[in-house]
Amino acid sequence: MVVTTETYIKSKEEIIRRQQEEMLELSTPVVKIWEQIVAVPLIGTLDSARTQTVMENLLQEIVNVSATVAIIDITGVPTVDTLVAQHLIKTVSAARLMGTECIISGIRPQIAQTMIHLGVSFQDITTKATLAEAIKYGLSRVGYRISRIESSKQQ
Amino acid sequence: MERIPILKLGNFLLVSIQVDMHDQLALNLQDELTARIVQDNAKGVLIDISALEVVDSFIGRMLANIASMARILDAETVGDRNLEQPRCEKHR
Repeated sequence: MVVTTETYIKSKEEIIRRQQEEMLELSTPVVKIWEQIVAVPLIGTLDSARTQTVMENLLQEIVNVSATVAIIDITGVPTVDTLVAQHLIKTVSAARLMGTECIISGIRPQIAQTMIHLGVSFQDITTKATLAEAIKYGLSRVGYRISRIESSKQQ
Repeated sequence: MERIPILKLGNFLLVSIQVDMHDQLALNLQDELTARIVQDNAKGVLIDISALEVVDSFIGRMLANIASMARILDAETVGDRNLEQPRCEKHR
């Protein structure tokens, strides 16, 4: 009886562990927006383990597509405390060492307020309120411009 | 409830403080302004405090905070405080 229970628990633990790993991998996709531009849409709370994965994935992808601009979108991050901010700054610094400019986007009004009250400021890091703005800025940095096609204006 | 109007001028938001600023009013302004910066995709904020008689340390800090928040949300802030300049300097 004891053996059965133990085996059962063990198998369950194994499942949980595997799922956690899978979630960690799935939760940090690095997407290529355009030539030389990559983006990381972050969803969920940022802890040390996740930041590490994000950083590794991001840096690897920067090398793969030889990116000069990286966008970190924190729209899906519910809270930003000093620790999370520190993690973000670390990631940005690492990307900078590889010659990539980082943009932090998706800062909600509430998060901006908490960050200021905590005394956190992303001093020389470019921040944008929305991902759209960040993409627009990123494209302009690599020499592209988004413009409306004349014919669709009339529709 | 008293509210400080936030006017949209093109890419900018104009906040003209015409009433005496008390603490709760400053907090409300902070909430509303940050929300509006994101909503309207504002590139700049102009805060006119020329009508204010006194800027105490709390209001001074609030204004500085609002400016930093706007900066994080990618909007520059300028304060029109020609009358308040001497008093503002004191709180720095």
